[in-house]
Amino acid sequence: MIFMLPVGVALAFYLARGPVRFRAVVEAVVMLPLVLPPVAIGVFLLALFGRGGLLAFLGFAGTWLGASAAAAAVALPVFVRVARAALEDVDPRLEGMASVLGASPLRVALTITLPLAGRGLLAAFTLALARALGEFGATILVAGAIKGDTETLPIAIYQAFEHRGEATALCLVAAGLAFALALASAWLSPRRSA
Amino acid sequence: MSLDFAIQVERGSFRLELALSVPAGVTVLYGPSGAGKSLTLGALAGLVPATGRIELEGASLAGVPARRRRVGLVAQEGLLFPHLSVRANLRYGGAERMDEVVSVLELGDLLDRKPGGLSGGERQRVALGRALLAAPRALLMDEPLAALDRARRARIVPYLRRVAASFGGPILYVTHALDEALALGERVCVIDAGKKVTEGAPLEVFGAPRSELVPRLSGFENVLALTVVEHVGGDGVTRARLGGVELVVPTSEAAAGERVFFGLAASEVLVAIEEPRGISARNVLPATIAEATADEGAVLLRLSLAGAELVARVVPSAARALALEPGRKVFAVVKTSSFRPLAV
Repeated sequence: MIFMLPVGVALAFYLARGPVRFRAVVEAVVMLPLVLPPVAIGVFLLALFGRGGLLAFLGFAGTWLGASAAAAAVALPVFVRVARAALEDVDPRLEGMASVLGASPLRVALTITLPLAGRGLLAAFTLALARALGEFGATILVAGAIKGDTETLPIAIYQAFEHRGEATALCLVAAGLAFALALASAWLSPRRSA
Repeated sequence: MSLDFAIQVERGSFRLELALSVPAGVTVLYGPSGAGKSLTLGALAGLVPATGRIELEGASLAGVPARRRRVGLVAQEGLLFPHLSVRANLRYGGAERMDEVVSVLELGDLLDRKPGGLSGGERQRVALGRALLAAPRALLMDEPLAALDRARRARIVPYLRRVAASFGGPILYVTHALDEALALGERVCVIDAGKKVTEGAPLEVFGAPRSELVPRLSGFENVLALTVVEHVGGDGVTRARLGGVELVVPTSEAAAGERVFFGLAASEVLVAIEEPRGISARNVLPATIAEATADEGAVLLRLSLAGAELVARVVPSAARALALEPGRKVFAVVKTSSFRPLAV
């Protein structure tokens, strides 16, 4: 998730404020994991990180780093969608005023846009976190299911399935976590009526 | 020190094409909403893409990004940064003359507050201070008083005057309020539908309008600068001089010898061919018709009085029945309450 954040913020910025050119293409690519079956994402990631893959030297496959990569891939579109809306809600006239006062584009982003979109960005992050925690299909392909190492919550549920009680308990934990995160996200989201 | 520009801006089907030279002091950009006033300021500040020429102190600003133009912008709603304190807002563009600006605009008590807790007038004072602290070479003000009620406007005008007097550079002040234009403007440029209609000294533009647009916007064919002679105690009226004519007008706060502005609609000026007697109107003034022109189902009469001029509007049948033609000696009759004070 930490890896995903700067990339996500940069992408959301581009989509909210960047040049119109290529925007649709970038948006489509970013949103791809949202509609692709997670298993397919796993296959893609494995092709990238697995034996003979372009990024095989990173040694992600079968490690917790691989699980993180899978989580990041599915969380990114969720984050970008919500974060973009938060950035678009910032009054562009305030940004214009900042630049008239002599601020560089970077300073405008850091001192005006990001702070004003802060709550929305946090909401985006929470929602993305919830999505990442639930990730299963891609993770099991890329990272496998090594107990105590790459064992994410959904994978633990899957493995505990033979013992019904344990699986149910884990499911309840998962549901509780997801509910808490979704609630936090909703609470953080900018209230339009306000 | 001057701001000279000749710019073109396209916004969909709207086209702005304006050339103007703004010397040091306050130049008012006056016009109806949608005329392109704010767009002009946006183009000068570098926020709206424009083609053409912009020169500030002889250096070209065309193609220079907003942050390097060093122009100050004060917007109608202030546009303070809501997440920053007043102090941080003020310091955003620079803090070199912080103490001076804080004392001139009396911002000392506001520094630790957030913009959300300020009144409209306080917000505009902070916005003005913030613009000044960025050490601009020109000031652009976009209807800075439009969001304020009458009492607040009156309270902030002295601050604007103080800033205008000490700033020393060109100030372009956008407004559609006649009283503001008269109170602050040293020059006025009227624009409509993206084009310049007329420009000149405020009294030339408003007092003897050469375009039909100006009285339609201002509501007054006659804008008069009167010199107060004396307040008639208890009656709520003031005797004031216009050229060689003495008028009885509603009382204002101005002291004897001071100049006050009044607006007078042409339709409120009656024309008589004999001196009326036993009439309640307090102003009966001998005049000569200098000019008579047809105007949308009415006749506009330009009356010349001793050292002054008034415009009267009469219906064509009255003009015919009384033979109101150039050269004819008449009397202009005006009620005191027809003079509307134009003080901010």
